[in-house]
Amino acid sequence: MAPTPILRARNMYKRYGTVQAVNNVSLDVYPGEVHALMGENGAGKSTMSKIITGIETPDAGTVELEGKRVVIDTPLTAIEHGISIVMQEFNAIPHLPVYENIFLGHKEMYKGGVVLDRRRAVRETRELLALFGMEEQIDPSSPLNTLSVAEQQIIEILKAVAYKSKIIFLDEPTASLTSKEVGMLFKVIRRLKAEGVAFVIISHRFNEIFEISDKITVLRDGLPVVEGEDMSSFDEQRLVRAMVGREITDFFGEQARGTAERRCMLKVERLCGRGGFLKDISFEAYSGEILGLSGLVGAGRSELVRCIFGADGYDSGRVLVEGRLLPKGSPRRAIRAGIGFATENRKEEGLFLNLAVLVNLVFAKTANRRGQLLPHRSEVRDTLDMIDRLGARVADFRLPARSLSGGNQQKVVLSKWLLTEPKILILDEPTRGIDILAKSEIYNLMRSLAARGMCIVIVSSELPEILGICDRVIVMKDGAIVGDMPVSGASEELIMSYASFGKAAQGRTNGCEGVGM
Amino acid sequence: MKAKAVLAAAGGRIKGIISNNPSECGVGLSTAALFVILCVVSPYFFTPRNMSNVVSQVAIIAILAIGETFVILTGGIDLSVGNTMGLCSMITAYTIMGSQSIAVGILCGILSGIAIGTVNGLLVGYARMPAFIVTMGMMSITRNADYLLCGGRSITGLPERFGTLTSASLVPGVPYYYIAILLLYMLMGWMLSNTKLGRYTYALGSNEQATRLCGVNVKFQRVIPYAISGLMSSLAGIILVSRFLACDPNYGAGNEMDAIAAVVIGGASLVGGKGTLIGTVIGVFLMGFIKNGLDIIGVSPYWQGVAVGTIIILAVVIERITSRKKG
Repeated sequence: MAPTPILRARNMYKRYGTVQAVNNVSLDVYPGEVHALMGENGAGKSTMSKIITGIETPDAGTVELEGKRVVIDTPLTAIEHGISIVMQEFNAIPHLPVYENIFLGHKEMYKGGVVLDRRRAVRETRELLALFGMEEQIDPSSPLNTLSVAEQQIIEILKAVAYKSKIIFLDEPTASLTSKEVGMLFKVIRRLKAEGVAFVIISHRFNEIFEISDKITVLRDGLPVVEGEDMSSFDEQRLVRAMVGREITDFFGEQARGTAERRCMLKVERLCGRGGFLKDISFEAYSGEILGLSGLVGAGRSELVRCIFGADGYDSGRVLVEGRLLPKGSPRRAIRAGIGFATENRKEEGLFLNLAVLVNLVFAKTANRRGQLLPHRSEVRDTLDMIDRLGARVADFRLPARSLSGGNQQKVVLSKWLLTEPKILILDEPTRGIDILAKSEIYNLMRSLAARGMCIVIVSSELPEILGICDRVIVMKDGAIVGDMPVSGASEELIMSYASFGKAAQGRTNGCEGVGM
Repeated sequence: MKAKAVLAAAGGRIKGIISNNPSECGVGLSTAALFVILCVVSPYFFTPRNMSNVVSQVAIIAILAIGETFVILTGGIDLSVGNTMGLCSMITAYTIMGSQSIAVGILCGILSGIAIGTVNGLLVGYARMPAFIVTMGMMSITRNADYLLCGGRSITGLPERFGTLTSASLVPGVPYYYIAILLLYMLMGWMLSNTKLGRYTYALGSNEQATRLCGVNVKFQRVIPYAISGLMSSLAGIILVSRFLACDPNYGAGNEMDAIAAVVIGGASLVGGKGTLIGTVIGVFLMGFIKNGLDIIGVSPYWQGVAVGTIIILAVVIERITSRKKG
């Protein structure tokens, strides 16, 4: 290994609105190493790779390549400097043949700068494929969309190789691959590694990170927690603790225990759906309880709650509300049975952005009462009540909802459902993208609702939120429930290891039951 | 002092109206300005004769524009209003001649209008087809059904009594049906702001997913504006036949453009969720004044078409700019 790093990014900063996504992070990458960039959702991994590869511009920080200061302000300059990125969403043209995709940006391959030299491109593509022993498997002339996802992923990497990249960033390269395909991909990575190409890899799959990485950097809330340490000094437990181990303050307010009476409000039995993605899901939720659904992004939590509410249909299984069967696929029946549901994307599915705040607030209540006339007087009363109760900052309830800040918009969505007087309130990422104060207010509201006997189910990607607000947590992985535990017996490490491995990490079970391991 | 306070209060109120309805006020002012200009430019413009001419032209479009407003508020479009009006007028004339009963004729006209609109609505709401395509198809069907029904010839000699529907007047120059149209506007405007139907109309145009997740049957609610539009087309067709006591198979051709233009000029957004009937009625009059004004100044009808087209495009541009400002 050469003593000087090939890439030296120093003191990088990037801010989005009020969020400091990357906060004084440095990253040294040496030739021929695989460097893991780890952290929770939203820790700043993707932002870090984007500001180094020119997709986003950093607010501050310097980048040195082989000891020389460079400014990378566009993806093209990054490529010219030998830095490529392979992202989750492919940056490719599906119906064009493989060779065209590989040489898309290569001016020297175009005759007169216009027409691609087809024979040369095919030949060089075949040579590239041969390097990795894939010339039998992939025909350079077949359209990209006829290849498997793993093969397309490898083509993306070959693209980077064709640019003679010295550093390749891989953002979740294995998210949609089977383990056999991962093996294939890793073979390619090892081969390039031997030739001195460096990789920076982002992944949620711990076992793969441990298998392929040499060094590791861990980010938490945009800050570096671990900077370029040897992977060999890490084990699963240490990694999990590094990723999540923060102090939890009393930000979540008093744990106001509700009444002793615990009735089963919501019962889900053997629910399967989304073409086999949701697998045999059963659980119960009780009155006065705040139940958290945790798991990695894509684990199926949002899909599950959408099925329960009827926003989407499902294939088999039953949903019972207070013992009565809820017909599937009908939000109307769900609302009348006493369920309220705030979706994760409030702008797309929650709000009428160009309609008055009042209309947004009272819409669900009015839509589900008898009569065709709008009850203007009680609507105004309800609106003023709710604005007051939730402390929403609304200058004039006749103004359109888009005039409100994110936190106040979320309060409007919550108010809309509270006005329907639900017995079960399902909240998908209720505090995403809102400021600390509004967050805390929403937590306190949830607590007081639960204390009065409401059954609250929240989906959250933030572990501190799950641990701070919930009474019980269910962990999902790949469309199935893998853990169900009272929050008193849970820790961030425990939830993370259920979410990542589907089981508790070695030597740390804390007496919790693990289902479906 | 007191007068000053009253004036200030009035000023504040007007300010409030303007800031709450900027597009309606903008179009209203343009219309008023155009009215003044035409009065100055042509001594013939503001004469009882010409005014009654303008209003009678405007009346038909005004009715079509009600239905078009409902449809556009949901984010859809109804291209078939003109030709549906043509077919309904022909059905009315035909059944009156056949049955010798005015009531039967009117009933048949109205029912066929509602039926045509409902078919449009079912295809858009339940089959989830694009409104543009559905109503364009219906536009072709109704126009040709119109020709088929009458064999391409006009129907004339309808009973005089049918004519009293539009000729009976409160005072000379103000027939009762103008007042009926005014009442229709008030009724439909009231529905938009005071009934669930009105709220769902705006909600569908603003965010269909959110509407559905609040428990509204969005498929069914999508049908209603098209049915209303069909009903309005048939009413306009009946008035047209009553006025001329004859029915020409070309009635209504191209009127969908006038109706859509009036709605858009009135400040409605083609994306849906934004617009009012007050805006629409102002838009109808603005279009009427422009056409009539260019006529009496002696501008060729071809240039009139160019002018109207330009104004429609400008209206959409202005709507885009103002809605972008609001973020």
